[in-house]
Amino acid sequence: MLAVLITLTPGRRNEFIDCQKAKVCIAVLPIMDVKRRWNSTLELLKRAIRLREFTREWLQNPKYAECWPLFTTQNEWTIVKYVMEVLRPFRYWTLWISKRHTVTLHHVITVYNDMFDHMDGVMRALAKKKTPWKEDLFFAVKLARQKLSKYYAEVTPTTGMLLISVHILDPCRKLQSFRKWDKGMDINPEDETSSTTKSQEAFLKYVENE
Amino acid sequence: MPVNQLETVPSCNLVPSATASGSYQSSFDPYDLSSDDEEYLTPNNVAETTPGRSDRAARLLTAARLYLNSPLEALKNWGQINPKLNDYHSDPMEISSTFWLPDITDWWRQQEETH
Repeated sequence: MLAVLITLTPGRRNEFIDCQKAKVCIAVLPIMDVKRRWNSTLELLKRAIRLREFTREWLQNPKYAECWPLFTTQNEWTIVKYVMEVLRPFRYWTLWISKRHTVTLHHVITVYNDMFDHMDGVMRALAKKKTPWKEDLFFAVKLARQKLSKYYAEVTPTTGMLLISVHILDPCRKLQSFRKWDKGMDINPEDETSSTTKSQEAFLKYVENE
Repeated sequence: MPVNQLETVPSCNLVPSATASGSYQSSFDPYDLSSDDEEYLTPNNVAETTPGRSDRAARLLTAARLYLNSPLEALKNWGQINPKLNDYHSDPMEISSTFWLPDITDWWRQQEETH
């Protein structure tokens, strides 16, 4: 809402830019939400935090007294920061993958692991909280995790075999991720039943049988 | 670290050795947020290994095992084994699973034979 008000007229936009002059290298405007882009809210929040000081200054102008109810409180900034923290791996990996110009298939397991672990950690941290916004956030993360699980569950025998193979073929990873899985579950990677051994066997069988 | 510092994303093609949620420090100090009660969202807490990993590993390995036992049969039967597979027919992401359904090995073999 504040972004709309600030960018409503060229005059307002210039005033807002003027607030930033001599304080930052590049003066920017707040951005608006685009519902069709999942990360636009995150970008909006990121920009809002960046402009926090200038928004406050802009709002202090008596000319915009009608906008004072839109003043963001310290508690609200805390929520914004927390939401950004929760979404950080999603933003990071989205940007990272979109910047790649080569194959990214061998990173799929790593990316999924990271996002799942992050969400599980957030849920653990929020599980016993009683503050309403934290309860809401817990519920939102829970739903996000369910959504991610559904995508993960779309693995087929072919894609499962493929993901394991390309992950092992990645010279930077090889069996590291599987070892990490095993260690996290307190299983010796050398055991016959470990993910490491099973993945290795599956990979060798896949290569040798063809 | 100031809150308005831009997040850097590596531009090279190597995956970062750490993970996005684990070792990369956030743009704010999470300890500052611990206002109302007990623990908060800390990097250690978030990066901890989760029990869900065993399920994810098992799912992937089961898929691979089925593929190795009988690739063609596995493709036919997987829908029954994995009912969630049918939940997303209206979702654009569904195209990703359809794309990989053909046996990739057969596809490569055909490429080799025809060229």
